[in-house]
Amino acid sequence: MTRFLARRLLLQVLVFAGVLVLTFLISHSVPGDPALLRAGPRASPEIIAQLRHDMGLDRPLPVQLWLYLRELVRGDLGLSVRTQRPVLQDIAEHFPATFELTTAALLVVVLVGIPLGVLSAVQKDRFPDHLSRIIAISGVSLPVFWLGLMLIYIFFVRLGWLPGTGRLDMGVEPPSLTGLYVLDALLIRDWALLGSALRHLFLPVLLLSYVSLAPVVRMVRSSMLEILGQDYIRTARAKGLAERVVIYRHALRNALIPTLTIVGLAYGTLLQGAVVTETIFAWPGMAYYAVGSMTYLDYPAVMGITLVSALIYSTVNLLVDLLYGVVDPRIRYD
Amino acid sequence: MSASRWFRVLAVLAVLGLLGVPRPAGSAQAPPQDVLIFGATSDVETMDPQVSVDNIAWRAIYYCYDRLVQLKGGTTEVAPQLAESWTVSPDGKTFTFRLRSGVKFIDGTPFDAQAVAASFGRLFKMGKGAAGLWDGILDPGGITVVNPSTIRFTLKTPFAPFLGSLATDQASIVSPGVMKHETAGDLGQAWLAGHTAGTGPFYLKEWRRGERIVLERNPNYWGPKPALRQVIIRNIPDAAVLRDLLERGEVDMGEVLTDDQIDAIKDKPGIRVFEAPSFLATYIYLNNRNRYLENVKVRQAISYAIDYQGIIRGVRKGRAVQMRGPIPQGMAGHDKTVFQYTRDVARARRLLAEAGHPQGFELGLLIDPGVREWADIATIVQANLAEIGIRVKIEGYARPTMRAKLDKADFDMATGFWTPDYPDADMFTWFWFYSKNGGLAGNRSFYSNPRMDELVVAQRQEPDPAKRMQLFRQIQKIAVDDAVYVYLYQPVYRIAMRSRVQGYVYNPMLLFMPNFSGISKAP
Repeated sequence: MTRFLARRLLLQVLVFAGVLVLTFLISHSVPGDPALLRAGPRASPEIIAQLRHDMGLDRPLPVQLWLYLRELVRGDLGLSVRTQRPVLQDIAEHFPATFELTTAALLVVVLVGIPLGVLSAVQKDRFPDHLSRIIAISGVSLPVFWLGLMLIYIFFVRLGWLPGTGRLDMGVEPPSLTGLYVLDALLIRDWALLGSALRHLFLPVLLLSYVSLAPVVRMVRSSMLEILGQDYIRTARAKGLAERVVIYRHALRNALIPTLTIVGLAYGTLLQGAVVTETIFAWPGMAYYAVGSMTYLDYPAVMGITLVSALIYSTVNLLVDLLYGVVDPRIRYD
Repeated sequence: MSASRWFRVLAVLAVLGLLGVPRPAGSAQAPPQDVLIFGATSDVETMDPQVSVDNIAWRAIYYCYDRLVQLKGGTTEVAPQLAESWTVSPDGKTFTFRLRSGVKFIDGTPFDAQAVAASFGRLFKMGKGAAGLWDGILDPGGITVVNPSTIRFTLKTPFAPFLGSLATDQASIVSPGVMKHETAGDLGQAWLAGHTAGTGPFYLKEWRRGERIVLERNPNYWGPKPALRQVIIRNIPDAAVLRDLLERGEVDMGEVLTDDQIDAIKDKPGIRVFEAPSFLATYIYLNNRNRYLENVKVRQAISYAIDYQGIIRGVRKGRAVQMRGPIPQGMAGHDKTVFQYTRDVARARRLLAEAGHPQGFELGLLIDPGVREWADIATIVQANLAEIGIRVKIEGYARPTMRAKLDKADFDMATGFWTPDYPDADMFTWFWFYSKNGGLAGNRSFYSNPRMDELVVAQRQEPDPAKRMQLFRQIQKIAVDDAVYVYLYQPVYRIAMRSRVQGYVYNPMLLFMPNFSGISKAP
C-alpha cells in the first residue's frame, strides 16, 4: 500500500511537470502581449518596455520558464497581470466557490446517477429505462449555456422562485471561515445564511450535475446488465434471496468498480462544465477567474489555474484508485 | 397511447404552462432608499487609480478619490476640488495650486501639499499605463511643495490641456498612508488593488470579486454629504438578466444593455432611459504603411465608398451621428464646416482608377469578433468596398492579439473605438496624427506628415485659446483631406434606471462613471 502510494505520488509529480511545461509553452506562444493590455491605450513605448521588463517578458522563453519554476518551488505563483495581486491570493479567493459547486454537483451525480442506472438495468426496456435514457442523452446533447439560460429564464425570470446569479442574497453577509458558504452556515448555525446559500446553489448545481450525469448512468446500467446475467446472480436468486439483496448486495457491489472510474473521470467533466456554469450564473469561482485571465493573456494566472485544476483532478483520481481496494478487497496494491 | 407519447405530451404541456405563468411582482426585494444597486456586466480588475486605465474600473474608483480639480456638472469645464484656486504663469508652464485645508484621507492621514507630491511621486515611480498621460510633460522633479497648503507644478513643455488632465482618474490623490501596506517594494500596489485610500465621498467597504463591490459613504467627507449610504455595484454578466432585474426593481441603474434590451423596457412603468451623445469615436484605421493605403487617393476612395448612414442604421439602429472629422461634436475645437464624406461610389471608383488600381486589390480588416459592433461594421464595409473592387478579408483575433498586431502595424485596416481621457481636442489630434505616436499610443494609421506634426505640437503648446481653435481648424482640414482614418460615428450613450433615481447628471467625459455622490432615490 505504501509503495503503491509512493509510486503514484512520484507519477503525479511527473504529470505535473509535463502539464506545467506544456501549458507554459502553449500559453506563451499565443501571439499577443499582456504588457500592451496592462499599459492601456495611452502608454508610451518606454512605459510598455518597462512593464515588459518588470513582467520578465523580455527574456528568452527557457529563462522565463526557469524563473517561474524557481518561484513555484518556493510556493510563489507570481503576480497576476490583470488584478495586480498574487495569483495564489486570487485563487484562494475563487477556489471555495468552485469547490462548493463541483462537490455538490458530484454528490448529485453519484446519488442520482447510481440509483437511476440500477433502475434502468433492472427495468430494462420499460418506462424507467426510457426515462433515464432521455435524461442521460438530453444531458449530453443539450448545449450547457442554452440549458443554463433556460433554467434562469424559467425559475428566475418567469417564476421568480430562485435567484439567477451570485452566491448569496444582497442583504446576507458571508462569514469569513472556509469560504464554503453551506459548510460555514452549518458551522455557525446561521439558518438564514444556509437558506440563501442553498437557494443560490440550486440552479447551478442542477445544470452542472444534469449535463454530467449521462456517463455515470450509462456505465452503471451496462455493468449491472452484464453482472445480472452472471451465474452467481442466478445462484443467489435460486437460493431464494430477496431481489433487493441480490441487486444491491451482490450485483451493485461488483458494478461499482467501473462506476468509480467513470465518477473520477466525471470530475474532469464537472470542472469543464463549471466554466460555462460559472459564467452564466455569475458564480465567482475559479473558472470565472480563468476566463477573465485568458482573455487578458494573464500568464501567471493561467498557469496557476492549470496547476490547481491538475492537482484537483489527479487527487480525485488517486482517491478513486484507493477506493477500488475498499469496494473490492481482492484488489491489492503491490 | 404509449408511455413515451404520454411523456412527450406532458413535457409540452409543462413548458407551455410555465410560459403562461405571470411574472411575480418583485417589489419584495427592492433595495432601501439610501442604497443604490448598480448592475454592471463586467467586473473590475484592480482598484488602484494609478494603475488602472479601464473605464469600467474607474466607475468604482472615481468617487472614492478626489482630485485637485473636477469637471463642473455635465460640462467639460474645470472647477476647484481639493485645490481651492490656482494661478498659471504667462508661458503656460507653471501652475500653482492653493489647497483646501482640514481634509483627511479615509485612513486618517491629513491631506496637504506633501500628500499631493507623494501621490504623483508614486504614480511616476510605478510608471504604469496610468502615468502615460503626462509622459514627457511632467515628472517628479517638476513638483514642488511650497508650503503645506501650496503646491507648484512646473511642466517641461507648455501643455494646454493640463488643468483638464488633472480631473481624470489617474490624477486621483492617493493617501501617503498606502506605504504602510507596501510589500516587496510594490509601493502598496497589491494592497491598493483591493482597497481605497482617498478623500472622496465614498470608500470601498467590501469587494466580493466577480460578485459585487460595496462603496460606503465616507463619514468624514469634507464636501456635501451624499444622499446614498451605499452604492452596490453588482456583477451581472448576462445583460438579459440585468434587464429583468431592472424591470423588477431589484437593480436601480444598469449598464451596458443592448439597444434592443433598452427599447424593450423603456416604456415600462417605473423605468427611465437617459440618452445623450457620447465622445466615443468609432472609426477605421487605415495603415499608411500598406502599399495601397499609403496612397491618399486610395484612402479617399475608401472614404467615399463607405455607406455611413447604412452603418449607423444597421449597427446602431440610427442612434449615432456621423463624425465630421476627427474631433467629435460637443468638444471644443470641433469644426462644423469641415468636409464630410458621403457615399459616392462612382467617385470612389474614379479615384481608385486614378491611383492606378482600376482592377482593385485585396485588403485585410482586423477586428475583435467578441465586439459585436465591430463584426457588424466589418460585414457592411466588406460589402461597400466590394462595389469598388476592393476585396476585404475580415480577420478576427482575440483582444490581446489584436492589440499586439495594431501596435506592430501588422494589419491593413482595423476597427477602433477611442474615448478621451481629458476634456480636450488634444486627445483627438496629437494622439491620432503625431507621427511618433504610431501604434497603440494613438496614431493607429501610422500617418506621417511633417506639417501635421508641427500643427499638433503647436496646439498643445499654444496658451491662447482663440489661436488654438484656429490650429484645430487647420488640423481637421488636413485630417479629412488626407482621409487618415474613416471617421464613422459617435454613438448615442444610453443608460436605463428606475424612475425613482434622481439627480443623475451625465458628463460625456465620465462615460461609465455616474455621479454617485449626487444621486438620490425618491421614496
